[in-house]
Amino acid sequence: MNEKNKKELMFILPKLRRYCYGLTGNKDHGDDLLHGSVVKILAKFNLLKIENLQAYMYKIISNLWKDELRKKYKSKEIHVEDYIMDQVPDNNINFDKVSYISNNDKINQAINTLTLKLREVLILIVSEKKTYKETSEILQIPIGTVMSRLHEARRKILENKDQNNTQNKIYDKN
Amino acid sequence: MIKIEDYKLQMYVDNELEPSEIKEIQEFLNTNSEAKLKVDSYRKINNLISENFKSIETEDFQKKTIDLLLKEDVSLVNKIFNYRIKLIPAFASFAAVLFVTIFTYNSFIVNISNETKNLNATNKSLIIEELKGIIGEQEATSLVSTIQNKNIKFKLINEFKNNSGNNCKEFKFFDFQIKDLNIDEAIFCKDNLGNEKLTKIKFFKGPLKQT
Repeated sequence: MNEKNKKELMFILPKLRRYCYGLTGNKDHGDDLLHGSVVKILAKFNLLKIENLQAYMYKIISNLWKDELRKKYKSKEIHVEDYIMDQVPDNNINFDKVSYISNNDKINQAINTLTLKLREVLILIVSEKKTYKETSEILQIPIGTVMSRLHEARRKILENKDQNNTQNKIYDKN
Repeated sequence: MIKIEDYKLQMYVDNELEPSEIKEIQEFLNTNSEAKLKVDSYRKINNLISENFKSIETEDFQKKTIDLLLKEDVSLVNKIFNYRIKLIPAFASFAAVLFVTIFTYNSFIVNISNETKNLNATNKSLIIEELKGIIGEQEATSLVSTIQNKNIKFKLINEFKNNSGNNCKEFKFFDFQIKDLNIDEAIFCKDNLGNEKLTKIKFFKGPLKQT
């Protein structure tokens, strides 16, 4: 990797870490995922011609995290891949709430209840300010799928918020 | 089932609409409080998520990740691949140098073989001896001093081994004239004792044809 590529990677590193945190919902896991993606890009960089490093890195991070989840679920002998990506909110596994405390615990918690497929779309568009087209290219899914996943993610967060509000109201009444 | 309006509202919040569509949505929001509430909710979620991840930017990176980038230890294979593009001009340069070297060397060899030299005294004597049988011994002997003092130019046109395995050289002469004989070519071979012998001489009688 030459100096120019290295500088570019250093420059986008904070954004990549933010995405890693968003996917894993955990500071330590996020840092490990970022480290793993840097290791991977350093190994691959010399073999590939990469036009958009940032987009490529997002792709690597997403795929690495999916691989990580596959390993976790394989060890539990669950073989249906879609089940992992669609049904299970993976961040609940070994989720260390203490390691990441923010002022927005509720939104963080709401994001963590989303499945990976919904969360990666939401974070790329909302946090990373990617367009629908860029997101579809990074995740290699159609724009229509990006839109439906984004809508679903928002709907679930709002649902979660409403549930919390209802619970609070019940708690207040008691 | 998601309503089409929801998609449009979502696109409006995410700045994915064309200016004409934005105006249309804004007019719709002015008259639809439910839709406006939805847009506000989406915006609130966006703000919360953005704020949530903003704090992460200021935190320090893992040392091992920074070290990995700063002290990147490139393997030999990677080094080779890394310099593959640089290797192409390097190989091209090397090939060019090699080509020039071979070409120059070949040219040098050609130049040596093309180089005209003066026939040495021994070979002159051998030719004179041979000519004795052609122009007569007396005539030939009288020409010895003339021939020996004359610069007879030749070019080496072939080197080979004869049937006895002796080294032979074939000379082509330039303007080698004795009386009315024009000596054109001659082959000198060394015998087993290392003495040079004239084995073939090619000549023609009469003046050179003007071409």
